[in-house]
Amino acid sequence: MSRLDKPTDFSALLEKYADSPPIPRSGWNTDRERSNSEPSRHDMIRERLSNRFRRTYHDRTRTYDLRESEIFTLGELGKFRVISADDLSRFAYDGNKERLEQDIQHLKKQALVSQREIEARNSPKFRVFSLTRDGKRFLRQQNRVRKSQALYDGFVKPKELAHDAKLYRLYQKVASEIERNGGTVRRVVLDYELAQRAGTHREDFRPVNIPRMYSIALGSFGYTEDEARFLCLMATHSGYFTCQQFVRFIHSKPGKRSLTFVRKLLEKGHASARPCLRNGQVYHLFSRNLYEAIGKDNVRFRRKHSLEYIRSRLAALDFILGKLDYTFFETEQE
Amino acid sequence: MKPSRSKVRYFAEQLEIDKKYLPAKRYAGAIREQFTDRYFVDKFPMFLLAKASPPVVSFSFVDPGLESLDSFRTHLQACFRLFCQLSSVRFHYVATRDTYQERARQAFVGFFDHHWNPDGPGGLVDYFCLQKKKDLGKLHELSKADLVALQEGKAKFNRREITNL
Repeated sequence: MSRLDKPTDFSALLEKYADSPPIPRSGWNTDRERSNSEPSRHDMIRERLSNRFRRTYHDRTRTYDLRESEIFTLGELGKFRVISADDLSRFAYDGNKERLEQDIQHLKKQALVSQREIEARNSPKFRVFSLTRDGKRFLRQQNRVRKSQALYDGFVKPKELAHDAKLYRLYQKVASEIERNGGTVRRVVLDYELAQRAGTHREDFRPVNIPRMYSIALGSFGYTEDEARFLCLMATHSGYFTCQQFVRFIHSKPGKRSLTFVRKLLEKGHASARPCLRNGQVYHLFSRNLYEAIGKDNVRFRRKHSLEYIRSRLAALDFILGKLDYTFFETEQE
Repeated sequence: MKPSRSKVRYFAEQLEIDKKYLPAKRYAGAIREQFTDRYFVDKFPMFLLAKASPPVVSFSFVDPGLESLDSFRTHLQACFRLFCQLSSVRFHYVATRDTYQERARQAFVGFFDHHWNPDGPGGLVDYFCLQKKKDLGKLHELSKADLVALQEGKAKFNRREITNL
């Protein structure tokens, strides 16, 4: 299930399973050596689809009207990030496209699912679905998936969408084999999770070194842990930053957090803002107190600089933000 | 978490490379004839690929967007003596636009080709000939240009792997 496997092996696996002809509806249960009391996958789908009534769920400020098949679809999208309309119809709706469309329209209306049209190599365009952030929050708050199961929202890596969409088909094939042999699928682990785990275990890939004492020292000025870590990194390597860079560092989206952060910096007199391009702003951290707190009161980043210098510092910070797993060297103070 | 390493400390103490090979800038002091050497003043990002054996330092150059590669060439020139002391080097050219990416790559490769061509002027063959003359006590036969070339050759090739050839 992982792209971390040898690419050739994985491609072969996809070729073998993902593009195989659809599994016959009756085929789910033919060879399975399971107890008679346990309903077959096919029966479970039929039971789920037979329940057409919607229940009301309250989630903080919002209310959702959902039926079981819609919640199941949300769960599947959360587990796999991207699923194509054809696969969803085939595996989760037993080929009932009309019902799938109804559910998807309803989920989209409630902003729980998003849709995109993609074009794979040598094949016509097809639709794929993904969970929205609200959808993910709903699943978590209603405990509709195991806590150990990772959930994903939104489309990432557009170039890999077609590949990612194939995973669900591959999973169905492998899951049916597991069940046929008497096993159960407890949870799905995608390469995103594996890569994250691998990243934290490889020696090369240590997270960027920001000594804890520095983030604590900056925290005493009223900054949050993430803000303090970013300030420390930026004060060490750049002195200048943009909101987008902060957002990138905290793996978030532009919004309240970044605005609060820059407002805090400006109000406390720790940084100044400089207009850049049309509506952009570049922030310059110049407060001696902040630099002193992290033991860098003698770096030249505090001074005013030319536009070329600012541009190169911003590019350098961008470069560092793209390689946060490495240990960057510091330059001696002046 | 380990604290971040300093560039100078890593090269001078851990790799035991003489500070004279590090890219430096000399600043005049307030007192006459006193000066201070500052190393890596450009503050370009540099990181270590610890997993490689031996560890490889990854250097970088951030293009300030001056629409010329002069500053890049100057940077290479400044770092070249240090590059020569390392068994392997990784280099990143960082720019906001990819206009000069290919030219920068050619400049980088060309720079090394020029300095490492054994048969070229100031190459390894020249260096060995001049060094041999020096070892045989024929320093008086060397011209001023030869002495400069010998000095430069020493900075470039004065490594055990090369001198043992």
